[in-house]
Amino acid sequence: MNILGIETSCDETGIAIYHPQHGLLAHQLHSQIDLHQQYGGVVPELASRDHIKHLSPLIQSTLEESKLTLKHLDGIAYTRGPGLIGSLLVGSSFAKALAYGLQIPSIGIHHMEGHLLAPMLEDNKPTFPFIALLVSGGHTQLVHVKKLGHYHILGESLDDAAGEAFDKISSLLSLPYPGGPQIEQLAKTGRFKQFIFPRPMIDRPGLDMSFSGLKTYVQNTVYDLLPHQRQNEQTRADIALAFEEAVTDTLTIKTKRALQQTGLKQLVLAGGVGANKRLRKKLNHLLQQEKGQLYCPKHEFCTDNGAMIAYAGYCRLARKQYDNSIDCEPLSRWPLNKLT
Amino acid sequence: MKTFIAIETTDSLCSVALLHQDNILTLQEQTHQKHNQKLMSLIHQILTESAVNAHAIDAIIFGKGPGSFTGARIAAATAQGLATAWQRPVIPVSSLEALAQQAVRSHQAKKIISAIDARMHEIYWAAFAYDEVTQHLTSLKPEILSSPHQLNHILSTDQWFGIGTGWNYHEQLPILPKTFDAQAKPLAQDMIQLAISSQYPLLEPHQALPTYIRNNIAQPKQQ
Repeated sequence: MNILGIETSCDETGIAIYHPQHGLLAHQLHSQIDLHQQYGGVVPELASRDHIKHLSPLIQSTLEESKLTLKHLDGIAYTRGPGLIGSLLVGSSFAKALAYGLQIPSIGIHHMEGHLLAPMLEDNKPTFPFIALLVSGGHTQLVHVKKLGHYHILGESLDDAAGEAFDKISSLLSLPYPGGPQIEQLAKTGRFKQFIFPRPMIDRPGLDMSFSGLKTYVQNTVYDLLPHQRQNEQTRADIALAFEEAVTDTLTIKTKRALQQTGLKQLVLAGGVGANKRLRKKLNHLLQQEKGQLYCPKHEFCTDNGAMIAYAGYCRLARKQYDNSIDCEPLSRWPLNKLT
Repeated sequence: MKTFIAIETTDSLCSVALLHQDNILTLQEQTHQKHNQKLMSLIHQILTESAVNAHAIDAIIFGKGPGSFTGARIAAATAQGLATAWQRPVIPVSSLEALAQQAVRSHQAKKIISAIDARMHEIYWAAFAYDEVTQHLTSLKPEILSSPHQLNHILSTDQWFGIGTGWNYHEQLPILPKTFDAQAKPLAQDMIQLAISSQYPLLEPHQALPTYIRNNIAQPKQQ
């Protein structure tokens, strides 16, 4: 069974082919970072324009890489949502037409389900049930994953996603988009405790989070600096480190609570912010304390990719848990706990 | 005899047509901004009702715009998907030219200005002449994006037939065409007619791309 995965929910065109016995046969990615960098963030219309230009050639090269042809495909999995509606429409319309033309099933995948299943592509993989910490530019959620399609959201950010906060602080520090890797790089030369930023909502019960107030706190700190301090490389690095510390501490504290509350010992870390080394290190330490195990997808599958969509597509096709309607209805908003 | 399927979704109509055994079958629905929810069903319906096997299709024609960016991409992405699966070429057709063809078909127009509302007080427009001998449309003025006022000069030169939603700006114009139809939307059946006349090349599936004309989308960030 060969499943083609198509991911176009934001600013990466990702294509992959997954086979249950042979694993990932091929995967390719076209990133739009260069396109959006000059605008300081993703421009939705430009993202859609770029997806439609690169989708077909990328599918062709993925097929070549896998040494398969279209007739070897058994299903087309595509990201149905959530995400930018224009970008989703490109991938969904293409996927539906391709599946119709080949007379094989099309499987609409929830983007975050793709992320939380991404560690299953690794040799060392978790088993159900587990806790997933999903952290990206659009989401920050702690999810109790009972089994495929059974997701209970334990807590989430009530305002900005953690990745969004990284992007905004990166912009504040005049670093290019996307902010995550830039802040991480700058923080390497930062000195601890030169600045102390709040760890939002840790004194409140529950697992919800908030990053908007932290972002404003950092902004005010920067605005209060004298111009020469603001431009000082060491000061900027100290701020980057203090911000990274605040975000990763908050996520770690909330994750610890989720593990203790549920009694689960397996944690999946996924989404773009999951690539952050400081976060991985802290969570690894936490799981050692809790006598559990941390599972992360490899770096390239933390950010958006077609492999996780192809894999999720296989899981749903094998269990016949998918909507095979002929028409295409992408969903820009789609709560994870609405899945079955 | 060629068998073509055509899809058009750049305006409020989701329009599908099939050329088979010299007959053109059409299906259309007023879907506004929900073409994606209807397009594949209409394609399936037209193939089923006409009992045409997908393998008999020689090419996939689609409305490439200008018009709704999203609409043009739905048509282009669907055309790419079908053409890839069926291993057939695509034929992108201009929505302005399809409107001109509609003016010829419905109103026997000879000199036509097609205009589509581009929002922001602008229109996409182009001018065409229809030659009754060759039965071809020729371009008199290539597709551009401008304010409706830029029609003034060309309107003063001849007796024109106006077609398309751009003519809803008619109240702003001192000179009007002899007749105009501001309700007309591009239709897949006219795209088939244009494709038969072989003015459009057959392209590879990945070349099924929209024409936007408006390309100034965002301002780079000020440092």
